Amino acid sequence: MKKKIKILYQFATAKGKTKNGEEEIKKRKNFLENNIGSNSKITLSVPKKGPGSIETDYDEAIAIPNVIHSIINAEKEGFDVAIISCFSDPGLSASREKVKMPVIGSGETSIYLASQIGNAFSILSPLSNNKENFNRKISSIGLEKKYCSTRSINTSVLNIAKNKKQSLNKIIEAGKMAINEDGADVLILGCMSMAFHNITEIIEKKLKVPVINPVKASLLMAESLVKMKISHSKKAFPTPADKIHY
Amino acid sequence: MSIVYLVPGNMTGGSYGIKELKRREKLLKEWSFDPSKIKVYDVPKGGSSIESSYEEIASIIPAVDRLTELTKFENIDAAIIGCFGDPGLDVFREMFDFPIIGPAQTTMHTACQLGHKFSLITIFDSMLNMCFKQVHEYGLDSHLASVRAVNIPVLELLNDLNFTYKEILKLGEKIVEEDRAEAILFGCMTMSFAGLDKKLQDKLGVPVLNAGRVGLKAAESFLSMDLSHSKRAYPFPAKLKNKKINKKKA
Repeated sequence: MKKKIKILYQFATAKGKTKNGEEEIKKRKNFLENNIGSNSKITLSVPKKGPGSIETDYDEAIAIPNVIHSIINAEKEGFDVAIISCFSDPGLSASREKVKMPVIGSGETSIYLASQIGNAFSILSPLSNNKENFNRKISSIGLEKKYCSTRSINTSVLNIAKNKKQSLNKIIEAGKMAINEDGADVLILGCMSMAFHNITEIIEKKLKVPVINPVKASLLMAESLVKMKISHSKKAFPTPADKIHY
Repeated sequence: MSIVYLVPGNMTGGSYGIKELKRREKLLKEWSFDPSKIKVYDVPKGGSSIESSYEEIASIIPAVDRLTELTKFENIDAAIIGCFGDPGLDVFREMFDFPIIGPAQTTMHTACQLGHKFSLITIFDSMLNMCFKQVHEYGLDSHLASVRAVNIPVLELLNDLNFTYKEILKLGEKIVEEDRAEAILFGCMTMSFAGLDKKLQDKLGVPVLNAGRVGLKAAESFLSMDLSHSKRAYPFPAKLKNKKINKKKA
């Protein structure tokens, strides 16, 4: 039998500590297991400390050390690939500096995927303050020309799961605006809390444009890179020299 | 259920022949998650190789017609255009609803996730501008370190693999040292199928991407995600109604 691909699915938030967090983690574990290939094995890693959701640069900064340390350990334990489960990709380049195995950014990989299947994509986000953050991300990636807009549903990350139906309606409304007013022909779900809810197909059917689910996109990128025996360039993400961190 | 890899030229009738077509099919099967799905075809009405804009444009309609013909006896789930110029990518996407993979487009987008800057190795110096235009069209100019040409014709690349390897290695060293690229792409499918990527990757210390293999992974990923190109971006040409292939989404 072939050796299984060992995927680390790294949460950036202390999800387990939030209200109904354990239940939500179980749900996500199911979703992940239903979406990996038969030759893959996935392990969830959820920080014990840190923010319950990531909605600001501050949240992100607090979350990053947890992500990096866990990914470094996972490589030592024999994992083949790590996925950072947050659309803002906290700790992505720092982790890539520290490990040789591929590290997938859920946001980054979704954006590059969107750029391949249409002329103009929009991101659907929880809060309107995500917009500035995403704008910066797009310019650092260099895909400004294909980026239409970020449309928010004005719902905090933790409230998305609380009222699923209402969130779905708001996402569809935001998607309509992105298509009709901003000219988008591809949509990206810009938050893991949206992506884990089995609503991608519903939105696609309703709005008739491809909708990218960052969870699925990250899983497939992870499996593809491992299968191709390709990882990030160490010339681009050189391993930091050993030095004392006081 | 199949993933069609379509060589947009007459490989069977050319100097590489049907043997090369079968060899590529074998390699794609080895690389795939599900070998039974892979089917490789060429275009009997096409040219021998694509090394200029003229040859690229001339390949498109015969290739689209060939894929249309194939849909009559193959249950096609996705198709990969077997040329790094992605000839007719937009045309294919207008005509078909199932995912159409341009190996250059998807390999470049993958390279951007492995490093900040990539370089392409193309065939002739006369093709540099075609490459620059392509990168620009995909919106990835800011990620391009350089394009360099190996100056060996497509139909001679596989004749002396040792010579081809040495020439590419020389270019690769310049690309890494002088152009500061962090990843290298084979800008030709024959180069991609030459089996040199891993050897060069080890030697050069940067990812070397084989567009055949990356293209296949993209096709498989699109199918797993039940994702295809946006028909809002690539609408079917209204006047060509009678050419419409009616294929229900599986």
